[in-house]
Amino acid sequence: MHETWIPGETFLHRWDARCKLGATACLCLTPTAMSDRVPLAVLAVAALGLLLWFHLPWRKLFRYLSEIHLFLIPCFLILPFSTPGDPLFHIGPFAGSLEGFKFALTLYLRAVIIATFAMGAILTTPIDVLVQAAERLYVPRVLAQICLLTYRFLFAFRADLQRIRIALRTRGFREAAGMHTYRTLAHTTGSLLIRALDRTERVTRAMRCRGYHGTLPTMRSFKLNNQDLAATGICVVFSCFFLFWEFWF
Amino acid sequence: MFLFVLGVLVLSAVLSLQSVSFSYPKRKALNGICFRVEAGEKIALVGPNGAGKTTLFLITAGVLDGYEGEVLVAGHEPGQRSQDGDGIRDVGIVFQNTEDQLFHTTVFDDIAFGPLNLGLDKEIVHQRVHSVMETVGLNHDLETEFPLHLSGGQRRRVALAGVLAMEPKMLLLDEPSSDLDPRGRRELVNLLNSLEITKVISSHNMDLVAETCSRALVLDGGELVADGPIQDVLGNRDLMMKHGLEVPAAFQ
Repeated sequence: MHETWIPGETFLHRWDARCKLGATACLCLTPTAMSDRVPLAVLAVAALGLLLWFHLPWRKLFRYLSEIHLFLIPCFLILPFSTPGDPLFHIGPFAGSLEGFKFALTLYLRAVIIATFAMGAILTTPIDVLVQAAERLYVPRVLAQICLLTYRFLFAFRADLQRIRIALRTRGFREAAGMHTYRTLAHTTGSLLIRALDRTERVTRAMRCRGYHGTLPTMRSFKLNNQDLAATGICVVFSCFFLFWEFWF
Repeated sequence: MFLFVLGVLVLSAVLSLQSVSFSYPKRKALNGICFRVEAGEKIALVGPNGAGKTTLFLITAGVLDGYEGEVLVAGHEPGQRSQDGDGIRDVGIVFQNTEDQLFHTTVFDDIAFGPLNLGLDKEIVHQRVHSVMETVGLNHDLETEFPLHLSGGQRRRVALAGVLAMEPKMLLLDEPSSDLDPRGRRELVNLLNSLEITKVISSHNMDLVAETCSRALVLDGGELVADGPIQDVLGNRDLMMKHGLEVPAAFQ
């Protein structure tokens, strides 16, 4: 497991994290208010083009984007058959509707746009900076701390899981459909949760020993400049353009 | 007069424990522990698993409440800031598992966490972080690294730096060599010997404590069973065997 942040010198990297987060939120909300597939498709292409224009590594970008298909493909498998409308195709006795397919496509485009814009923020900003920026934008402090610590300990959790899996394999365990596998997986999950609970106590103690009283102080100070504000303004105008397209044409 | 002298003696100790006992729900962890640690002492705390060493550390660091007896760290209760220092906390503890101690996403932020919690000025925090990184032998290039991506030895140094940055009067180290290779252990010994601060080191590594400490305390079953110069205590084969320990190579 590696950090998602990619170091670089592009404007996206230099952009003030608060502005970047605000602009990303604005851009991510835009497709949720749109249902016309043409402007949605144009927005999806524009979002991808924007990130590639800033020289973000396209392999990594597409790898992350391909992962969301795990959640999107079921939309195309379920919605055409569960939405009433004109039949588009038949699989045995089941008819897939055109309306269902269009609805699935709309959801797909929305998800891709949101994920692409979110990638722009996540890939160009260290996660701790993003969380601190979120805190400055009045995201509740506890929520911000939970996000930061969750991210940090995902790595430890993953390492625990790998150790357990290796331990299981060295003792001859092979995953197969059956009660033995399900029971073993249940024990593994329980064991991971207990370890996580123990770790939480140890981390809390370690933090208290270093003076933790509910806040995570930081050395980082954010500074706005005209470029940051201009870029944020352009993103807002960009969002408004697509909303205008959606509602007036 | 006697009480005055006693009072002065107690106040001059960095750590003073009087009849300290502590019980977990199903077992007694500490039973009537009494000892004092003077400024500048380097003490080894040894004992078998479950002897109560970590519990003693947690009480001293002020994170475990509900003990009986009296614990005074630099004259006041554990877990409080010094009244005479500039935001200095009296006890710094480096835990056995550094993975749990380092929770920030960069080395710099992790080391700065303690000083910032003390309310120090950012400029001073900057200086302290750079200073302790040099003290523990960490390259400044590592400032932006994710702590979990460092080697065991480097992580141990970052954990130590995070504690030293708070400028405590006493350092508690719980199994400091547990995840180190021989070279890392050698470097740790050199590093610990270079620190003038009062230290209490809990370890199963008898060679490490023999090389870094001048006094030894043996804890077994929650009781203090020996206290004396390190060579006398760790060199006592019968005592070591009786409590499931070994005589370090240097004293054989």
